[in-house]
Amino acid sequence: MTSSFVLDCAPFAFNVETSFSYVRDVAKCIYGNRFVESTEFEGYVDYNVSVLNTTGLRRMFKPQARFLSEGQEPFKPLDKSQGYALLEWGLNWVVATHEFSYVIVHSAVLAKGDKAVILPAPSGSGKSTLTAYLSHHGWRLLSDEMALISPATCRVTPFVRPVCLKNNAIELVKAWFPDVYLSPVAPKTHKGDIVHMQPSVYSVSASQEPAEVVGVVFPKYDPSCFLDIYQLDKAACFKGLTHNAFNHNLMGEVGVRTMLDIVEKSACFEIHYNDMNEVSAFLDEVVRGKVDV
Amino acid sequence: MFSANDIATLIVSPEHVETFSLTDWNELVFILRKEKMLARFYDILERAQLATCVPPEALRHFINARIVSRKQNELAKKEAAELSRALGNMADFVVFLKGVAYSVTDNAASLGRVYSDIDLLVPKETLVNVEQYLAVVGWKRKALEDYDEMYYRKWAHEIPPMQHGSRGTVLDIHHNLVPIISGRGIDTRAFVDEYSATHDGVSVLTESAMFFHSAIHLLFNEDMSSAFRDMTDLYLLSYSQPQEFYLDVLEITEKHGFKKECILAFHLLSIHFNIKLPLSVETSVNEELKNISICELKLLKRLTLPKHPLLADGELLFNQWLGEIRGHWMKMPLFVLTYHITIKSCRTIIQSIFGKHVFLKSDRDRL
Amino acid sequence: MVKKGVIVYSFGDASGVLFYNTYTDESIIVDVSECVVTHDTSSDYPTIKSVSESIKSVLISKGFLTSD
Repeated sequence: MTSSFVLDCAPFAFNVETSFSYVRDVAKCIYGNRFVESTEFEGYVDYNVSVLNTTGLRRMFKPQARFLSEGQEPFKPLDKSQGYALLEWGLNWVVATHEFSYVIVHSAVLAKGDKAVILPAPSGSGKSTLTAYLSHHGWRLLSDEMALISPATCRVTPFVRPVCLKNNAIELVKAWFPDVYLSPVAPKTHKGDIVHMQPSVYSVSASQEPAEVVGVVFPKYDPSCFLDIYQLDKAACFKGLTHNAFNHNLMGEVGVRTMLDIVEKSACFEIHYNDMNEVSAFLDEVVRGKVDV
Repeated sequence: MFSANDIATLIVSPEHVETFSLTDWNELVFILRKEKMLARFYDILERAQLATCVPPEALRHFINARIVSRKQNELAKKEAAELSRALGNMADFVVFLKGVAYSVTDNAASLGRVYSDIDLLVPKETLVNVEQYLAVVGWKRKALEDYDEMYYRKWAHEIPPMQHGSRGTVLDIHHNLVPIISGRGIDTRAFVDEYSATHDGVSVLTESAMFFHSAIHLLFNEDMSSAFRDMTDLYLLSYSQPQEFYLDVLEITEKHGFKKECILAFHLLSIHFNIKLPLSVETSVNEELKNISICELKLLKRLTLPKHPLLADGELLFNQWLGEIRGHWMKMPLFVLTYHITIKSCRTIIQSIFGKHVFLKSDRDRL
Repeated sequence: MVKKGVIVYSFGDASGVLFYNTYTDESIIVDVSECVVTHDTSSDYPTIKSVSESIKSVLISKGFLTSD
């Protein structure tokens, strides 16, 4: 038995079919009024995905969740308890592998008004904890995972989805924001224990408003550093940005030139920090163009 | 709701899109995406000056597919040129087949083509040297189920597919146009001597030989998942050809066999895409069809059309399985077939009990 | 001479000269002291004014420049 719903998550709409009622329930809590029953959705569906029980006898004694998208199965099955996390990773995969109308960078994107900062960072750098904090302290979240940059521009399109938090960050965020919805813990994934945090109301309400990139800041959590700021030269920033880019190679010259443009027009920094409020104040100066370079 | 035939009709008569609703476009994008036909259909629309009919919601998906197709096209040409240079010294011939050959020659079948692999043909005695050279320059063997790897090496006498470590391109290296295991080999060297041509330093087959090979590949193969796309390859290879083209293809079958496969290809082109065959060829087709069972014809007709669940007559898993059995039967001697099918069937049964991923190497310890 | 499909770009803060091959996706950033690039407004593409011999041979071997 499966049920279907649509996640109307600008700029895309995903039809999701699932065998697991808990996946459906969590999606409903996370996406709020962007969760629509398939039979009631009247818009254009961009992608069909499924999170289904594994086949055969295994489904009875050791159920697993499989992610499928239009005939493709990009991941090995996971334990049923990781089914919701699998859905969110699957949606990332679908966009990263099919969308070439944007230059996509693996990064968080935060904005004040229409001025955005891209925060590229690998897993384990503390980026998502930072994003979770800042998105409830005056910043709007455009994305936790991927910056969607329109080619030949510095414009980034919001793709507001839950923030993925791991291990120690889970307890931190529960303490900071006791009223914000967190998914049940997906235990022992390849990234550790995982929850997905509902994005802020403000971020969702502004999810159709693009922003201009004015800063590229590479964050690194370091418990010994209050806030150390290192200005990056353009070449180093370009290297760091392309290192985190998904698809600029497929887009050829326009992909590369978009990245060059972003780097030339943005303030470029690397920061080592342990104080999120200091980071917020610094990023505020970046978006206001007030950083002394 | 579309039928499978509706989709085939669109290839020849794309002007039907002028009456489509947004829901029609939405369904069409899903169907074409699954059949790897998005880029190809968009190119067809452009050629018919109908691209402006595409609503913006659907347009993005066509453009996405086109970007991938063009990049793959570019990369395939480059890989073919480099491999030709590198392997030219160790093999008498290095002939590129199917998709990459269409790209290299910029022929009609390169239209919106997407590739899963690059196919090339080399002399059998050079296979070991070729594999060793490729391993040195960064190509690795792709992970397969253990049984499939044995099938390639022991029975098909070929190297399993290789994948480039950094570029991700997959190379499928053949020494015969049809697996030898079927007992119906082709004298590869003689075939290449007569039917190859060179474009910018890269060897490919002539267009009639490309058709011959693609027809064999479509109808002899057990993998029917790209059958509709492969059918449109055949359509594009033939639709603007002069009448002599079909006679050239039949002449190849006189020398090298596989007349049934080519006749079936002509027949399917005429029923799916209304291709008008020369009278003499049509007569040959009608004669040959008398020797083919109605059941087999019906099965092939259905399998070479799209199969998406959204289609009125979709969800063809059973027929697909039957088609795959037919493909196996054509290729392998009976005892080998029984072993191959039994193993595959057992595996299907075991997978249905224990789950689909049970036989991949890294999953064995999950059982 | 720059090979087809290679982007040559000199960063505005003189932090380097980028060579990016859009076919192979390989790239290299060369120090400005080793390679001088000028941008003629009549062309969309910059011209290499000078390049040191050691860097030139690296650029040729990695497929960014042709050997002529």
